[in-house]
Amino acid sequence: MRLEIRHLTKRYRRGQTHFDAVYNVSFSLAEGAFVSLIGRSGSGKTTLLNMVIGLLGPDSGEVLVDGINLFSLDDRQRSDFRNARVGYIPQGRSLLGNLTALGNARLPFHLQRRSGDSLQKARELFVQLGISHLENSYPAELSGGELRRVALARALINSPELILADEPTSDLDIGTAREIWELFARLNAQGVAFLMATHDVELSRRGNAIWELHSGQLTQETK
Amino acid sequence: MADNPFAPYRLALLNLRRKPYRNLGLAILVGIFSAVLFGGSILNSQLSKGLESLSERLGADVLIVPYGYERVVTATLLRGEPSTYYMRKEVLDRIRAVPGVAASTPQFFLASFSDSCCSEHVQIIGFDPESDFLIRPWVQDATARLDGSEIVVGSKILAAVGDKLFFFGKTYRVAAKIAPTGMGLDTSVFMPLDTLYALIRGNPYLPKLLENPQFLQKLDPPEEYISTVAVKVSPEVSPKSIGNAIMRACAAEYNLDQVVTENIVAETSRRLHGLSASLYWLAGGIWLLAILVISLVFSVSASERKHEMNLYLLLGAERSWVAKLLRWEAFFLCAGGAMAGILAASCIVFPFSTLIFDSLQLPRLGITGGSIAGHALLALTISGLSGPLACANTVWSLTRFDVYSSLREAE
Repeated sequence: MRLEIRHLTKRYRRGQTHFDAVYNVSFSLAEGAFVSLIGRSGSGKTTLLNMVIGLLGPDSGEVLVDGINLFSLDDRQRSDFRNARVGYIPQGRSLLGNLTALGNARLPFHLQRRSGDSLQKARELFVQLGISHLENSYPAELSGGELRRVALARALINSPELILADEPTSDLDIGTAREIWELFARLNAQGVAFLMATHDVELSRRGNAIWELHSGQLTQETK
Repeated sequence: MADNPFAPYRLALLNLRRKPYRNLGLAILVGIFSAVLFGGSILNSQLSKGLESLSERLGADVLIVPYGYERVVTATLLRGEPSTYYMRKEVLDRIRAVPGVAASTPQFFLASFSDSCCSEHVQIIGFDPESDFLIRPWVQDATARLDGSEIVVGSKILAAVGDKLFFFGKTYRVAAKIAPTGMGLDTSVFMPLDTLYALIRGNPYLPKLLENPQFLQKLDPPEEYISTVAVKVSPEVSPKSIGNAIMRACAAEYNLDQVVTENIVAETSRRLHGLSASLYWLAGGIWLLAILVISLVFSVSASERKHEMNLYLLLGAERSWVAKLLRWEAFFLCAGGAMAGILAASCIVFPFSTLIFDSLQLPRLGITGGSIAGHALLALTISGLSGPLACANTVWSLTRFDVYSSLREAE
């Protein structure tokens, strides 16, 4: 999948004034890339990620997926894109409390029409991520690192080409954060592209590119 | 997708378990609505059937009764309250001579005792097989064969065809049972006038009845007495005018009064409509309250669920899928409450309907299983649809909410 972002702008109103959460951002993401998106809180990282997956409409600009503007598609087509081609790891605790860890991981498989065995696939991912003993645990029973692994299994269930991760190590200890990072690196080596918003400058250096968002603008690009 | 373990309706059921007390409260509210709606419509239906039967079965346009017995005859016909009264039979010929009287038939009303001499305390109605147009249509075959020891019983008399019942020491065989009427006829026993006169003649138990100070005349000979004359008027004249003509012709001499039967039906109908309207207003009020409360509760919970809804969208759910999930939750909540309400109403209405109608002093008839199922389905449908209706605004706002805001709130 080739992802191209062109002049993306998202403007919000705060009180009587307007501000640009994202302003005139352009970049392209090649297959198998591993990009760290850094920036302070409120710099527009989450807004940008949500526009990239077509969940949040821009005020101007385009998100091109293999040359097709995501915002020219209808909700069904955009949902299908999010579900089938992108894995998303949201910030913080993002599992559904009334589903088991395995249930959470299987859910995206069943949100769109597809055939196959989600149970077997989820179990394989749990083995791969070292959490097979947590299959029947509920989110309330899991630690931060375990929650993040389950969220990763969920993001991988539909074999996506791109994973968007929003602060995936923000509330984890250094050891667990490194483990998560190692998992990402391993998946990236298998061909999955990553666009990861993070505060963690040290870990961000392990990617093959670091971009910085400052007040909604992509001000720096490092390779 | 044939057996999707994460279909919206399955997730909806899981979601409802998260707030059991809140959801139970909402379900109870819907349950109260559906119980009032279902119970009310069943009672209303029984009343309507009773009323239809009443106008059909009264058969007569005017009833001529002894003066002061208008209310008694009404109570006897509507509620089967047994009573005994009589007047001289010669009035029958005078009534038949009044122009506009198309048909007339005498009846004799005798109350049995709640004593060892009688099987049951019921209204015994003697009718004239020759001129009868009130009883005969419903028991025609049986009346043709009734001999001096046979009777016909109402639907609520605890006796089957062939059983023996005894009244004032005499035994009678039940020859037929009439279909339910929803009126006092259901608790009455019918026999030809000749059989009744034979029962009265020289009966050792009757002096006890006749000692009652209200009976100024002695039934001797009984053949010279009747209790009412049922009159059918010609189509071109009004029952009221004929009733008045009869009164003018013989009321003073025989101390009579008249009951225009359409007035009985009209009065009952008025009471029925008043009751029906009250029940439906009550159901409507509770329905609005239920919609309002569900709407408020869903709306309040909407803000706390925005992050969850956003998560579904992030994972690739369509907005219509999220809307479906919310609608299923509301539907299950309301349908569950409705079923419980219908069950609760059934437990009250069916076992206690006799008591309810007796206390309301209204006629009633049982309704068919199909009709009950229809009422239940209607209550279930209205209640079930109340949920999706109540949460429509919430669904709309949740599926079109500002994703950015919800994400910032989550952060």
